[in-house]
Amino acid sequence: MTATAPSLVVENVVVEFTKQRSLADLFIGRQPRAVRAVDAVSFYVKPGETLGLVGESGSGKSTIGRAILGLNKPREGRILFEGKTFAEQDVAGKAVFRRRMQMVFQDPYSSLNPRLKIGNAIAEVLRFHQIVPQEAIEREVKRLLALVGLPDAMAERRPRELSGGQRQRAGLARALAVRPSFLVLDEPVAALDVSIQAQILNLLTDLRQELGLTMLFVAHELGVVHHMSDRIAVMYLGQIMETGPSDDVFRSPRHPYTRALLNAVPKMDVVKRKRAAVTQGDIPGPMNIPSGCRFRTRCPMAQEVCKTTPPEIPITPDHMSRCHFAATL
Amino acid sequence: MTSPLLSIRDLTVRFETPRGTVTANDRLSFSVKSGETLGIVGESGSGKSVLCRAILRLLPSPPAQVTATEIRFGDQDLQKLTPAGMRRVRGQDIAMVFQNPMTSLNPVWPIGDQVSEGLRIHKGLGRSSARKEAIAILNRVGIPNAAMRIDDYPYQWSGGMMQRAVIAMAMAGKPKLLLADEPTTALDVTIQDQILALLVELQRETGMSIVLVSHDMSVISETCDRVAVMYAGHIVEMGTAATIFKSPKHPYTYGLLRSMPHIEGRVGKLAGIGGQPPDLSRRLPGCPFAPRCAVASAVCRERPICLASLDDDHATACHFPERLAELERKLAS
Repeated sequence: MTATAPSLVVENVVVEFTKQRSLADLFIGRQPRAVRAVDAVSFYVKPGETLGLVGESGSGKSTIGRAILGLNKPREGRILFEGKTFAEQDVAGKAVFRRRMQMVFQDPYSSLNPRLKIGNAIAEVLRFHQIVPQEAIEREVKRLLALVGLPDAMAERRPRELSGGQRQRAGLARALAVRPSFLVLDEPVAALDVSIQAQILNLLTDLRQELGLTMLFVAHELGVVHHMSDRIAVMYLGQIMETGPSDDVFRSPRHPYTRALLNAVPKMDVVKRKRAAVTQGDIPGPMNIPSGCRFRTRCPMAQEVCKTTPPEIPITPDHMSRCHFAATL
Repeated sequence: MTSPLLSIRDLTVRFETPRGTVTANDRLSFSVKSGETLGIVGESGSGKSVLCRAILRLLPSPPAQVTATEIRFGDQDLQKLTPAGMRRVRGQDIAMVFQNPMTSLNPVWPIGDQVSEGLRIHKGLGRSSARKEAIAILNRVGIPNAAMRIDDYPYQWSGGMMQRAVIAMAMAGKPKLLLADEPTTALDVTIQDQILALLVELQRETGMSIVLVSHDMSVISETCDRVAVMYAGHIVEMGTAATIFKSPKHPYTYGLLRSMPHIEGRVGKLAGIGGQPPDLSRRLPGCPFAPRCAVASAVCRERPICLASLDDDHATACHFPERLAELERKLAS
C-alpha cells in the first residue's frame, strides 16, 4: 500500500430499508416496498484527512456512516477500508476491523450503558479487545480520561451524573480505547450548547493531530462541518450533490443545492432580514424521490433537462458537482 | 416616548424541587416596544423558555413560584387578571409558538379543526365561517392547497408544514405580541430559512411585536432589533442587536460569539468557554458566570450582579466591562 492510497473507499453504495409487508400485501403477492436511503454513493477518505458529510435530515448521511462500520448492509456497491471489505472478513477479521474503526454517536447518553460506571465502560472495551494486560487496565483508563480532558474521578461516575459535554468526552474516550485509526463521528456536537460544542470541536482537532486520526465527520450544521473538514460531500436525498475541498465548496459552490444551503444559514451581519426564503417547498419524502435531479422540485433554476439524471461534472480534478449546469454556475 | 407594549420588572421564577430551590429566572426586567423583535439568547437551562411561560402564566404552581413587581401588557396588569381574563389574553393579545410542532398539535384531531378552534372561541365564529377563515390563514402561512389539506392529521404533514400550522393558529387571533420559543430549532436549515422569512413578513404586515427565544446567535442576528443574553436565569447583557453582536461588553456574550464555528471557514481554534454549565439549584452569591470567566476576580465571586446601563440602550451585568479588552488579549495569545 502506498502512502497516498485512500484509507477508505466507498464505491456505488446503495442502502435500502424494506418496509414490512402487510398481510394483505402478502396475499396479493405485492413486492416489499423499499426506501432507498443511500443511492449509488461513492467517495474516498485519505489517511489523516477529515471528510465532512453534510446534509439535511433524510439525506442518508448517518446511514452511510453506519454502513461503513458494517452496521447497515449495503445492497449494492463496496466499502473498502485499508483495501479490504468488512463483509469478506471472518470473525477474527471483523474484530480487527471494529478495532481499527470506531464510531462516536450524537447522544452518548444512549450509547453508554447507564448502569456502568464510566471507568468500567472503558475497561470493558480494553478487556474484550485485549488492548493492554489486565494489570494495566486501570492505568490505561486514567490515560484515556486524561486524553479527553476528564479528571480521574469521572471513572467512578455513571453517565447520568455527567453533563452533556462530559458524556461526549466519555463516549470519545471509549471509542479511542481500542486505538482506532479511523473515526466515524455522527453528529458529535449536535446535542451540545455552543460553548461546550466549541470545547469538543477543539478536543477533536487536538486528538486528530496527536493520534493521526482519519475522520468521517457527519453533521447538519455547515459552520461546524467547514470548521472540521478538509474535504466536504454535500448530500441530498441519498446522493452526493457536490464534493470537493471544503474551501472550494463553501466559497464557490457549484451546485444550486449547496448554494441554497449556504444562503439559508442566517448571517451574523445584524441586518434584519428582508430577503425571501431561498427555497420553496418541502424536502420530498424518501418514498417519492423526484426523477432526474433530486433537487429539481425545489431548485430555483430547474429546467426541462433536469428531469433527466444529471452527470457528475468535474469542476477541478477534486471538485465534482452533480448538476446539469455545473459548468456555467 | 410611547409606553412599551410589554414591560416586566423584577420577574423571579423559582421551582421547589427535591434537590432544593431552583431559581430559573432571577429579577428579570425588560420591555418590548410595539412592532419590535426582542431576541432572547442563551444556552440550555438559562431560563429563556421559563420566561415565556411565566409571562403567559403557563407555569403550574406548585412547583413554580412567580413573583414580579410588574408584568404589564398594554394597560393590563397580567398578574392581576382572573384566570378567565388571562385566557382571553392568551391566543388573542399574546400568542405563543413552541419549539416542537409535533407536540403542540393534537395528533388525533384534523389540523383544520385545531386552527379553527381558536377562531370559534376567541372570535365567536360559527363552524363554517371559522373553517373558511382557517383556510385563508393556512394559505397565508404558505400551506399549498390549504382547502384540500385542511382535514389532514398532523402526521400527514412535514415538520415545516406543521410549524406553519402552529404559526397559523397563533396568528388567528391577530396577536399584538408573539412569543416564539425556539420556533425553528427542530427544522432543517432550508426550512428554518422559510419559517424565519414568514415570521418577519407577518410582522411587517401586522405590526406585531415578537419575542424570539433561540440558542442560535445567527438566527437572532438576522431577525431581532434588540437582544437580551441570558445565563443561569439572569439577563447578563442587553442592547440593540448591533451592539450585542459588534461590541459586546459581557465576557459570556463575547465567549458565545467566539465559540461559533463560522461558515466562512476555519478560524484556527474556537475560543469556547471553559467549565460546565451552572447548576441552578446552587445559587452563587456573586456573578453566576464567574466560575467560567477568564477575567473574573474575587469581587466577581462575592458581589451580586445587577444589569447596569452603559449607555442609552446597552446594559451589562458584568462588574468589570472594561476587562473585555483583557479577555480579548488572553484569547488572542
